[in-house]
Amino acid sequence: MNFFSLKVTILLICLIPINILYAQENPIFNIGYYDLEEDIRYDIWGVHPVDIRSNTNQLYKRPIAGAELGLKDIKPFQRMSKVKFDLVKRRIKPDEEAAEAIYNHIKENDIKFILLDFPIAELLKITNKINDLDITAINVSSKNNNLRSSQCNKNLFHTIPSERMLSDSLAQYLSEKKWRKILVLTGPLEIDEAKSKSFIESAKQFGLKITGERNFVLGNDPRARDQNDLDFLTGAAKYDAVYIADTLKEFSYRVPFATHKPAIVIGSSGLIPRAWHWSYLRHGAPQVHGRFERMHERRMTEEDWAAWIAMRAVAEALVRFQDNENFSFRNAFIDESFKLDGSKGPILNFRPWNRQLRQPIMLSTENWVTSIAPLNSFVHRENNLDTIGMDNKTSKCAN
Amino acid sequence: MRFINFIYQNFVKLCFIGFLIATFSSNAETILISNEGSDNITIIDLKSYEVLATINGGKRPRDMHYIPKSNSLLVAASEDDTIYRIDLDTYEITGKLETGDDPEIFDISPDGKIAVVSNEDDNAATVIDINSGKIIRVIEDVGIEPEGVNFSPDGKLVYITSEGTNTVLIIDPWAGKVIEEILVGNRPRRGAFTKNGQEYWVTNELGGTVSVIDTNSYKVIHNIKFEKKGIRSTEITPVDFAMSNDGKLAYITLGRSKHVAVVQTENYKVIDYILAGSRVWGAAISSDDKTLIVTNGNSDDISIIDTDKRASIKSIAVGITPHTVRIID
Repeated sequence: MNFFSLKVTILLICLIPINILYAQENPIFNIGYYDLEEDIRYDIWGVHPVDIRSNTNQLYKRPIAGAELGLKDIKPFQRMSKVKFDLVKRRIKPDEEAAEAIYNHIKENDIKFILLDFPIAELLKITNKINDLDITAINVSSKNNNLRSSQCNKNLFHTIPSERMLSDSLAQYLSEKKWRKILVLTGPLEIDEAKSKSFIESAKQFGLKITGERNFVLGNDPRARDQNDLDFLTGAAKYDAVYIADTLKEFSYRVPFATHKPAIVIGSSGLIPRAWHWSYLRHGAPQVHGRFERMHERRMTEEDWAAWIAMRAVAEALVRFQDNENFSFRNAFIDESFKLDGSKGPILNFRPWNRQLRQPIMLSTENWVTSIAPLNSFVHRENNLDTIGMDNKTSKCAN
Repeated sequence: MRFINFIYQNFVKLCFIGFLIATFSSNAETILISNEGSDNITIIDLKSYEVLATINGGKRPRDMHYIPKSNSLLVAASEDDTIYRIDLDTYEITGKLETGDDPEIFDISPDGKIAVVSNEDDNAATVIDINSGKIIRVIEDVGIEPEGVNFSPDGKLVYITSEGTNTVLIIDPWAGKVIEEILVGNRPRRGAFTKNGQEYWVTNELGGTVSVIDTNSYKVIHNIKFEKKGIRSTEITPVDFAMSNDGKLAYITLGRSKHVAVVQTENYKVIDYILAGSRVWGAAISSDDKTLIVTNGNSDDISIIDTDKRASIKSIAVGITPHTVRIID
């Protein structure tokens, strides 16, 4: 044997085990994560020189952090799911067309499942565009009711609760406390109007009385004091509680303890309905908070939770359903036996009529979960979780 | 007045007698309860149901195991990251075992040499030498939020339930290896071997069922479901077991449903449901199989259940959030 063929032989021997190992490795399962570089919901304010929102702030803290924890948490599922999970991220620049960019990214990167963090307008364009790719998506941040009713899409699931689920939860609480007269304050954004509209519908359903509806603006202009001064905004009305819809939060933070009459404040400040709050101490929630805080050095928000549970949903569907004939995420998610553990008490699953994740809502202050909805006294004939949000009769989803 | 004088003059002597009685009674038949919310352990007489003492249990005491040889108790104090050894003659902490972060549930090998503890926050299991109290090894990647830990009856393997990955991991603690992983229901909390060692039963808290694993084939051979009129399926949240010593029955605490299920081990038939307290979870049975004791996590008490009548006969207030119960008899 000459020297060259010896070298080739050694090389081959060395390569064989590597090849065998490589062949045994599970195939990669790419999960796409998309969001916007410029998103009003993540605008920065109140930071310099002191971050007045400290632990409680949500803005500019993007839920991708929750997806990253989710990826770490579903790695142990790989032994059972026989795939290797990876998260492929793409942030859409202001000059890009989101739907187009995502469509191409999915095709180029062999992406099998996606998480979307977008406001409703972009979300609708994206889901229409990707319909022919037959890919399943989870919305982790838009709470818009229309996405669960008149504008739903068969490939879009929601792990973040709808505005209606949140406002129903508040209404249940007020109804149980017999705080029935409510003054509604609405901010300048479209999304604020949608929140107030949802609360007014909930109030009607749970027998509360709206005693006034007023719009506020941020500012000090004395000519607009009926809209920027709290004494004017909350005067001349009878109420037990003041509901405020303020996505940007800057105005709503000053409302508690400052209303004209003594009253609790609910909605965007005071008692806030959330999918998740870091102060919740039961049902294994502290373990999830702990893992999140060790990874990201901040509190876990409800959007973080929605992204985290979306990752778990992917793993759960693969582990238990991928061997089924004609497996698809869409079918697995709405299968009767699909069960998801969200570390907040009951088992969670998706409503088949509008693909919304059923879940309890935490009625929380800035540092405590005061109550959990649905409240015990509200009972549904099939699943008590369906006492909050649109049930199969009120949702107008056609597909 | 003379009586008071007598007490006054003999105070030291009386205290000593009292101490002797306390010492003596601690060796008698007792119930031990760890209260994770009030950092203490309640000791109750098994016959009279009198509370004999409430002793320091370290921070957030949870699982406990009795060591008959030294009449001592090992207690996992989760927030102290330690297992304490408490002398049951003096009620003093006399030693501790290293455990790694946040120990919750542990088990001791049948030969008494090693302990294996689940570290919920680190996704790991720690193997500890009981004599020296030192960590022998840490077995990583045993699923997310590992909880239940049980030595197989032959002492060779350890079964661990992983709440976050919905699996049971079988590990070899002596070699430090993961041997097998078995998919069960949602949020598996605790496990128990049947008395003959042929099966390992696992409670799926959110799935509302019990998975039965064949310990030879490592396959799930049966799922026990619970149904009772008037209880919604979402309320049925099984947590802990007490296996009767005659091997015939399994008592399973059903959490939010406030009931304990009685299951025949030979045919998995649920033959009764016994009403207990709010969020019933920890369970233990006396060696004569006559008395079942369960902890009620949401009402800070325990229920004493007569297994012949299959009914709760008494409830006793203990500390805040009673976690584990052990019976020494």
